[in-house]
Amino acid sequence: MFRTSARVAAFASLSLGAAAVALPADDPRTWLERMGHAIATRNYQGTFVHEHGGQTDTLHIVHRVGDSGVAERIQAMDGSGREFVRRAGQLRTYFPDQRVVLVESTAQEGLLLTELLQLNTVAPQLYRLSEAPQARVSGRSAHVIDVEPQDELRYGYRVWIDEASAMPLKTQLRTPAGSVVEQLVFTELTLPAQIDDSALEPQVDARGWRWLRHDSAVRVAGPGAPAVSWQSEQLPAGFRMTARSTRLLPGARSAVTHLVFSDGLATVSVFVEQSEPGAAAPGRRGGTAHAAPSMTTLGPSVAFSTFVDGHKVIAIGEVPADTVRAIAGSLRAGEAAGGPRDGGHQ
Amino acid sequence: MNRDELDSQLSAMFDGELPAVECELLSRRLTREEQLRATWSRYAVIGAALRAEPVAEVRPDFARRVSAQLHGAPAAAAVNVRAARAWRGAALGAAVAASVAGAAIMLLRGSVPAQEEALVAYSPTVEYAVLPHGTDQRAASQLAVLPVAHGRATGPGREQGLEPASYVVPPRSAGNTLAIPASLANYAMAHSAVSSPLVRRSLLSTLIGNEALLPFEDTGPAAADTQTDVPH
Repeated sequence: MFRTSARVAAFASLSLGAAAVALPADDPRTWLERMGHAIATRNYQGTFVHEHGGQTDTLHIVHRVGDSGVAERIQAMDGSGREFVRRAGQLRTYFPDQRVVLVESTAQEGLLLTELLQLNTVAPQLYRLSEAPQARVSGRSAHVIDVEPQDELRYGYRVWIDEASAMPLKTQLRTPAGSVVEQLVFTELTLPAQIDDSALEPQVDARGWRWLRHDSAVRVAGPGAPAVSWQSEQLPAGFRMTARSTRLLPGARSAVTHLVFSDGLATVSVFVEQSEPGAAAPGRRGGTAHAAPSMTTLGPSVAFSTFVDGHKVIAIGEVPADTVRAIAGSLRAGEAAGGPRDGGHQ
Repeated sequence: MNRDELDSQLSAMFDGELPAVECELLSRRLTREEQLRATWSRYAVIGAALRAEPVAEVRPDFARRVSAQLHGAPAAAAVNVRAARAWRGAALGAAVAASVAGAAIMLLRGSVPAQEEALVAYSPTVEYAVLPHGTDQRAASQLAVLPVAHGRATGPGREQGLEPASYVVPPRSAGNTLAIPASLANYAMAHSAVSSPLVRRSLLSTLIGNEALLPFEDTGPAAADTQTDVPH
């Protein structure tokens, strides 16, 4: 639900610094800043309901901020026993029903709430901040802040911020028309001063299980790198390319170029496969004889597959369908040299 | 054979623990005696309720028995098949009362003492129980500790959290759009690394159910630990 990465420590200091500037009390940014500070500095644990793509999940979270970094454990409450433990640069996902553990190396980002930190830094020409009348969520008084898109190209947010703790009690990802794409509601939330290590340990015993490893960042350089550099022309308003890398995806026959586009809040990935001999005539745009462009909905995300200059292109993002289509359509094959830096995100 | 012994035999048959010869005899009796058949079907109702399957029609006069059993259910101290049978009596009450009074479905994380060996061996028994509104914690916890794996799981529990007897992944609700085509699986995974942790969680959950789509390589806990220094 919450877009792209955020840097907790950096934001915490930024947030405190900005607070010193003393925004008017009725400025919606005041509450977004308080929320950012709470998310970055507080331990919390609670139960939340996540609705997305026609599915409703109830999960329990334990989140600890400490000298040794941020650690988080999320546990499914649906009887599956599944747990997601993010700690020390690693995400371990436990699937007791399959007796499988998935292990991923990951930057200490992608925690449940950290992406809400970006709400306060959105460009005003793209998103308008406003405060709606106060409301109650799970028995607590909340300030309701709207982050509304100024056009049809991106989704907005509505956040219910606890008046007492400034923690987000409820968040919605919303279409420009106001329909809810994804929702997260805390039904129970506490902010303990201390959280023991044991609360961050998985409750399952994974000894003897199958351990699977996934490294998403298998990057390619040198001879394996594609000879084509991709540029974008006429991107949708506010979007720019923030990262590019070349990677080998599991099962892929050749390296794939991964381009990341962002408007500061929404993130769209574009993957360009190396062209296969005879796949399509060079220079042709749009559909080919063997594969028409297609749009697929994946929960809150949409994926658009097409061919550009003879290369298969897949654009995925939590944005309206027109936006992924426009971003995929903005690609142009260029020379390999030059262009944005290679590797790394954001 | 008195009624209690008969019930006990039925329960053993339900648990798959009655010798084949006795099963055959009891089956013949089942065909003749309506009361015995009713008991058998009640056991089936409980089993369905505990597996969160649709509960079959329940006769209204069960409600009275339920209340009596719920309030009089003895606390379970030992974890064995006999206890499981006692629990079945209590759960029967719970299931029926729920169907009469309007149910709240509670996930019961049963305390299953388990050694690692037993983790492999024990068979699934109970995941859910249906409790009536207003069931107090004492009654709930009694139910929670009773549904226990058969036989093998007799060791001490883990220090960190006691494991349930088995895990069941609920089916996806109708109309959800989380099913992911194979052609998009790897791309969606790569995108979720720069996007939303909740999207990633959903993807992982979806992909794990489909071995063919899993973009993961086999390793082991040792390999996982050597590549990153994670206390565990």
